[in-house]
Amino acid sequence: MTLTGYANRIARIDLTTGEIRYEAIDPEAARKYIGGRGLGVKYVFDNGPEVDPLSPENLLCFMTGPATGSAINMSGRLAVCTKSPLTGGVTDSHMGGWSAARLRWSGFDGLLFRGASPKPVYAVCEGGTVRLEDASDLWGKGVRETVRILLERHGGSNVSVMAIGPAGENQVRFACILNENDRASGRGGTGAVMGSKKLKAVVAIGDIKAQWKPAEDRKAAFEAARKTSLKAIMEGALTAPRKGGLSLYGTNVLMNIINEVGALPAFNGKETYHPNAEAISGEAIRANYLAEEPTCHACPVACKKLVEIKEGPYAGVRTESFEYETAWALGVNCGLTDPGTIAKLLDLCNDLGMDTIELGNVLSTTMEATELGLVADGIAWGDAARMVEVTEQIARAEGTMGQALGRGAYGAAQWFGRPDLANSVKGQAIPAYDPRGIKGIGLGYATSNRGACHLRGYTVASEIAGIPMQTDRLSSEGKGALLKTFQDLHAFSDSLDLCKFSAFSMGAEEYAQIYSAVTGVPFTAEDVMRTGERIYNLERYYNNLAGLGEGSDYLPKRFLTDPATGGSAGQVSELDQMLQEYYAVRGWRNGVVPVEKLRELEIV
Amino acid sequence: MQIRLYATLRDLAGAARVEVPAAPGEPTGAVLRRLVERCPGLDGHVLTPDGTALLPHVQVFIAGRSIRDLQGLATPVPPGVDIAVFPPVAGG
Repeated sequence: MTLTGYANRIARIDLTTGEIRYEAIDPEAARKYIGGRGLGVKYVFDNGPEVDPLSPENLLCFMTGPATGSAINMSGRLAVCTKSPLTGGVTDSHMGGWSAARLRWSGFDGLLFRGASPKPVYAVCEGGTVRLEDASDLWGKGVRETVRILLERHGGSNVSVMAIGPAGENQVRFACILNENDRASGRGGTGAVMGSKKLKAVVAIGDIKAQWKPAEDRKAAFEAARKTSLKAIMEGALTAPRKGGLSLYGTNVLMNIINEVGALPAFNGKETYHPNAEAISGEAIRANYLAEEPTCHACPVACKKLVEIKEGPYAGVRTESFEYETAWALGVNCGLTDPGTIAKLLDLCNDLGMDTIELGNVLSTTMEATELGLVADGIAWGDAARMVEVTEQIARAEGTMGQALGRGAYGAAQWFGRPDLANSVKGQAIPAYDPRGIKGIGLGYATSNRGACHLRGYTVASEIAGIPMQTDRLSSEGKGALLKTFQDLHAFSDSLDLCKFSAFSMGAEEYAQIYSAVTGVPFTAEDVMRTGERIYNLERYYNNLAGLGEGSDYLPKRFLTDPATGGSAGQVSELDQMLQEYYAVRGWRNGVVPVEKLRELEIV
Repeated sequence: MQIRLYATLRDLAGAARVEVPAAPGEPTGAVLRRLVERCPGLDGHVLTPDGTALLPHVQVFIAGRSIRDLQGLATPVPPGVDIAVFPPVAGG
């Protein structure tokens, strides 16, 4: 059966035996789960929720969506879906750049890896086939060298390499996968799963000539959808190229505003304001350190900021992208406001293959434990040299401390004997918004299906930026419904797979138009929201079956009892109140999806 | 009183901080109109052309609270505090 808009080709690669099979996408699965995150989660679900994440039985999916690689704007995202070694639940983690487009142009909607190779290998996707090559010579190398070697070996400008570094090989639980543009599937430990399978890299060789184009009778609808997405981006107050805050300063345009409202976790969340955060803000970086502004496939926004450090101990470091999350996690969260040190740590993470958010939390948790006298030879707040040293130890799993910290912030805090020091939910640490100063995002951390995360339901758009409408960041009322809307909307766009930032200038109407134009399937805004809800519930159902049941939606005690400072002085999270409202609008019982909801959404 | 400007507003105003006279309890809107008079480059980037409303997604904070969550442009300016003004910003 033809599936319009898809390559309609999935490769199943058994790394234990080397067997590779090809199959079409089940049309019913495509209808229900779209692609990208949704379809990837469906494959992970069908593989079974009880597998050990780092065992050969776990499934590792590299997924694109129907819009991927097309001329639709912001369509350059790739979803990596698997069972997370950090959370024990399902995770999806998206990277930008050109990997998604090239994978699609190589003839695939997705690659599903299972098993574990007896020796290091890498996969090459080209012309609708996959082959496995020996990667023994690459094992132990950093991402940068691996990428350089494979680009040279496979030649040309049509090649993308997605690789792990030593952290992935050593199964550091927050290891990530990076590509030639330093774009990462950052969260959830996808790199550790890849390392457990002895899969060093995936090489996608695909020419833009293979880009999907609509049939003659669909051209007008497709062009209209493309123009809709372009117009929204070009005219969006935030996304407008060279004019909007996101385009000019990157995501780090948030540093000052989040600090202003007292929602910037500093010193591992002991404070929610830092008096010197301005020094690492998007404004400061643009003025003093910006070297280049690269972008992803089909995106005029160019939010990525490549920096160059010219002075100090880390002079010569040139790396991308100096994101808000990274600047926060490795900066004020660790009591540090030196851009050079942050760039150095970011550069290390890019090469060693680690999530900067989780690493920052690991370091800040260790710093607080050090302050409390719980660890010998720890790290003092803002001790740059020691941060660099410990980062390398973690990636290489060196010594007892390096191995303990490689379990993530929660694992580290357990090792210190104070699990409450970790600002983690379901084993994954928080990003750069404090739940005491932005109430809805705290509920989002608690109920995220992949552990603490801002990208499952970005209520910050509403609570800070007023998109699509302003809500009071300090009010808990109505945040359950607000969060559900964001979660369902993002679940759909992650499945198309469009960049999350499309939500700053587009909504369900535009997503429906794009999906319909690409696939030919009539679709409405209501369909978008219902499909997103289905995907979110499938993830929750998986987690329930994997053992994340009642009581799994929580926030660390600090956010419930210790008052915020700065512009949110005195505030704490009213999580219980928000959770009750959230469960009511979701139709869940204390975090568990009832069977009637599963039936209503056609999941079972 | 001091008004702190961020992101694109700095280039438009030619400064990151601007001193604007303000009486305690005066409405924020009056202070912002005075800001635009002092920094003409901000005209059309903070307030609507008639000066009666904030432009969409522009945020003005007094002691960390958005005036959109208070009384809007009618919010009285307390003595001894700064005002922070941001153009539309978001990230993630």
